[in-house]
Amino acid sequence: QDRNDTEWIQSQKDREKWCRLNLGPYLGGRC
Amino acid sequence: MDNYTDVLYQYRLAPSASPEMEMELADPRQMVRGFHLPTNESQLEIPDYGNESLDYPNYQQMVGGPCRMEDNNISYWNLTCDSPLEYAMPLYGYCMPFLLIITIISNSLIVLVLSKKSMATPTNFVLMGMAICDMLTVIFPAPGLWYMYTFGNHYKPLHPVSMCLAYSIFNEIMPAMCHTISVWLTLALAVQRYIYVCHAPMARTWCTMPRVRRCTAYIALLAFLHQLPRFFDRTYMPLVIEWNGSPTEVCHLETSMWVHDYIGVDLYYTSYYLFRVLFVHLLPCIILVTLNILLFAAMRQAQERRKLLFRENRKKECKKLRETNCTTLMLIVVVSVFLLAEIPIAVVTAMHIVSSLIIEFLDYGLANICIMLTNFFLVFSYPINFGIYCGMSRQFRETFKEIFLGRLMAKKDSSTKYSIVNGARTCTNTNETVL
Repeated sequence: QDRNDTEWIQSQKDREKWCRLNLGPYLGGRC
Repeated sequence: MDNYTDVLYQYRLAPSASPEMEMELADPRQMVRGFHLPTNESQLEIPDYGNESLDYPNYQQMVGGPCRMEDNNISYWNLTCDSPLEYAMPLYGYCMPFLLIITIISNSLIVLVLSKKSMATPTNFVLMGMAICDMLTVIFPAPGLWYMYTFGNHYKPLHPVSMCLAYSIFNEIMPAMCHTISVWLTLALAVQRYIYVCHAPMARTWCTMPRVRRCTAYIALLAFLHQLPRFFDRTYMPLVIEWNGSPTEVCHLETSMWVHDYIGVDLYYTSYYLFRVLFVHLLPCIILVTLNILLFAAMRQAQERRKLLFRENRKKECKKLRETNCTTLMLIVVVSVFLLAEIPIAVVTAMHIVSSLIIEFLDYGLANICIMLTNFFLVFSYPINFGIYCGMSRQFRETFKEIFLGRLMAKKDSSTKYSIVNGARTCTNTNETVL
């Protein structure tokens, strides 16, 4: 995977956007 | 490594940090010096963290904000930024070990009592399944929580990669799976009880032992399939950093290729969270509330009937109805405790979807604290079930006494045997249909 690819970078940013919520150790944690 | 984008969980001090940690983290630049991916040994630019310590206001600001560093930085997994430490340390680190012990003891007793032959009814089978799942929900993440929060190692980077994978499986995926099974079993229990109380003739066909066993197996399979993509939705990249003066292989998290290439991150997480909101939290809550209302109405009706029977001096029927009402009330209490834990999760997760997808409005610092308190309440509610069974089911108490205090004591007050939720067994051939 080309990590300089803008699409890939955007995809990682999107992931972090979704991973801001931490559901805790009993309900699924952070994504 | 220019333009390398991801989160960087910074090392800063929590209010609970020990002086030893303070020494270790005195110069964060030194700590992250020598960042490199083992594949090409590229040196990365070191972020300027400054020397500020992590007090609570700083942490609050970091959540969803400065905890995420982008551009020229590379992230690695540690737990310090994962949860608000001011709450995580006392709740997960100090209270949870006690709750874990209480839950293990109480749920083991429930399983022990309900697994007795005399207690073998379809309803008790579901209750036993719930007790096992609840117990596993707290057992799986326990070692990780002890290590991170009880012993205060949350500030250390998770390493090696195999440990990151294990932590993710045991502290995120497995408990969520067990909890999902438990939620769906609670629903199955309420449906079953509704059939017994409001559609008694149907119970002979629908609430049989083989059917309930099959239903439990399907529920477990579905919960496993629902969590299955999570085993593969991220990749743990080994990343060597200098930690405490020696090179340490830590984990850098990335979205898996298949999510990126075939589904897209937004669609993947929207589907995952939406499924959870709808099928694990919201719909079960709505169905449980509806069934609870119907059960409550049926219970009130039965109480009226009981009064009538009492006036007519028909003691046997009167006693039977009293037991039925008691067990229905027991289920209403169990379900109400369940709702108190599930509704906040459903609301916050729904808000998270909207905030991530449509319009940014959610305060994640507050949301994570709310979820953390809900996690705590969830575990706190597990031993309560034991109290409810003991307090409200005579047969449970009798079997419990029989196992632990001997048969003599149990026989003192055992003219008839009662199913845990289905009234007098001697009154019906099916053991289950009461009304």
